Amino acid sequence: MIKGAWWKYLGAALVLYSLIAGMLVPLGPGIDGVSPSALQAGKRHTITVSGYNTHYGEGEMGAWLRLSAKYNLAAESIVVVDNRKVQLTFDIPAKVPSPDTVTAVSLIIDHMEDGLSVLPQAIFLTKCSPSSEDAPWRLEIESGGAEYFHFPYRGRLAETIRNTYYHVPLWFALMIVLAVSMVQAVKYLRTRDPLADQKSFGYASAGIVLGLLGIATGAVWAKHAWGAYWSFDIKQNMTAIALLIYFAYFILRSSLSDRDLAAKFSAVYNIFAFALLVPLLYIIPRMVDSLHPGAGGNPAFGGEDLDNTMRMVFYPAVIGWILMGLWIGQLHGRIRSVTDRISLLSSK
Amino acid sequence: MKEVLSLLGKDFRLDLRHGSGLGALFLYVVAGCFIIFLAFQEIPGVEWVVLFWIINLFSAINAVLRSFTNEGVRRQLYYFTLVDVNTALIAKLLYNILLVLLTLSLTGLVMSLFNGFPIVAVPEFLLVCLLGGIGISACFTLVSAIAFRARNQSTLMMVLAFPVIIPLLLPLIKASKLTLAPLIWEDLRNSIYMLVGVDLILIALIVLLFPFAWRE
Repeated sequence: MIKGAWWKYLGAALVLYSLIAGMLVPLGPGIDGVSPSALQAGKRHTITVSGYNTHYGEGEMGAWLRLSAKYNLAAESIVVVDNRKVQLTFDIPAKVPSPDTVTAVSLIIDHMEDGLSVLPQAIFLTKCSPSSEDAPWRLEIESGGAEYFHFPYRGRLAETIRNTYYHVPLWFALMIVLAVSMVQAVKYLRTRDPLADQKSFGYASAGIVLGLLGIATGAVWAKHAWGAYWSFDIKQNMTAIALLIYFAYFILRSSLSDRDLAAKFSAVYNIFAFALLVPLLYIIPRMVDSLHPGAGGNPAFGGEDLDNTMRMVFYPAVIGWILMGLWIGQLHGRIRSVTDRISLLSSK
Repeated sequence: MKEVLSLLGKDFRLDLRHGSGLGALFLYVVAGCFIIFLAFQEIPGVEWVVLFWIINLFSAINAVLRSFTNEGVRRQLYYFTLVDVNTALIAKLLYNILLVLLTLSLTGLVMSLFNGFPIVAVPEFLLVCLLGGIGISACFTLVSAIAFRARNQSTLMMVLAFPVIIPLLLPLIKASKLTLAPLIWEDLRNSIYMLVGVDLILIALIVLLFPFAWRE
C-alpha cells in the first residue's frame, strides 16, 4: 500500500517543510529607508539610514553610493545611532560620470555581521555635471561580511516575501490539477467511461479549492504590498472570472438530472473552461498594466526575485503543493465514484 | 454547402413564419434602449458604448438560445439523421452570427434614434462589431447547445455564458471606446488582434466540442 503512495507522503512532507521553513527562517538585514532622498551634487550631505533586522551598533561597517558596478562613492564618515539607525556623510563631487543631470544611485552598506545590503535607487543626485572624469567614483567594493542563512530583504515586501512559498505554488498546482481534470474530461468524451468523469469532477473540485486559497493568499499579500485586499487589478479580476467559470461548471453538473447527459455536458464545458483559463490567467493580464509581477513589462520571475535561499524553499513548495493537489483531487474523485455507486445500488 | 444553405433557409423561414420570435427580439431591444433613454436622458460617449454592448449581450443570449429551443429535441434528432454534424454546426453558427449581427445593427439604430450616435471612427467600429458578433454568437451557440437540455435553461445560460464572455467583452469595449474619437490604427491594433485571437479560440472550441453536445 505504501509502495504506490510514496508521492503522497512526499507531497505532504514537502508542504510541511515549506510551511515550517518558510515561517522560521529569518529575514535578512536590509535598508528600510533613507532621508533625505534627493541630494545636490557638489555639496556635503548627511543622510539618515534606517535598517531592518540590522546590527549597526555591533561591528565594523562600510557604506557606499553606487552609480554602477564600477563607480562607487565611499562615505566620508559613519555615525552609528543605534542598531537600526546610522548617519552617513557623503562628499558628493559636482562632476558625476553619468550622461544625465539627475541620476539615481543605490545605497550599499556592508556590515561585519549582517553582510551586504542594498537599497536600489535610494538617492537621486540632482544638478550633476555630466563628466567623464571619474576619480572619486572609481572604486570596487569587496564584501567582508559574514553570511548566514536568511531570506533576502526586498524593500517594501519585507516579511511578506514569505508568501512566495504559499501564494505562488498554489497557482502552479491549480494549473496542473485543472489540466488533469481537462485530460480526464477528454478521456470521458472518447471512452464514455464514468470513472473518467468522476475523476475529472474530483480534480476540478480540488482545483477550485486551490484557486480560492490562491486568491485568499493573494489578497492578504495585496493588502500589504498594494494597500488593499482587492484593488481591482487586472490579474485579480481575471482570476476571479476564471473561478466563476469553474463555479458555473459545478452548477451545470447539478442542474442536469440525467447522469450521462450531465457527465457529457460538463466534460464539454470543462474543456471549454480550461481553454479560457490560460488566456485569463496568463495572456490578458500581460497585455495591460498591472501591479502584479508578470505584467506590464515586469517579469514574473526575474533573476533578482529569487535567491538561492528562497529557491531551497520555493521549489519544494511548488512540487509539494502539486502533489497535494493531485492527492486531494484523486480522493475527491474516489469519494464521488463511491457515492455514485451507492446511489445507483440503492435506486435499484 | 447546399445542405448548409438549405438549413440556413429553413431557419430563416421558420423565424419569418412564426414572426413572434423576431418580433419579441425587436421589442426587447427597443424596450431596453427606451428604458436607458428614460433613465439617462443624455448619454455620454463611453456610457453609450458600454450600454450598447450590454443590451446586445442580453438580446444575443435570448436570440441564440431561442434558435435552439425553437425546435424541440425531436426535430434536432431528425436533422441529425439527415445531415452531418459539421454541416449542422456551420448552418447553426452562420444563422446565429447573422442573428447577432441583426440585433447589433438594430440596437445601433434604436440607440442612435433615442440617444444619438457618438462614434467617430465608423468603419473601425463596424469591424469591431463584426468581430464581436462572431465571437458572441460562437460562444453562445456552444453554451446554449449545452444549456437547452437542462432544467431552468435561461438561468443556466446566464451562469454559463457570462463568465465565459468576459475575455471577449473586455477587449470589445476597450476597442469600441477607442472609436469614440478619431483614432490611429496602431492604437486599435492590439485590441483587434486580441479579438481575432479570442474569436479563433472560440470557433476552434465549438468545432471540437459541438459534436459531443449535439449528438444525443
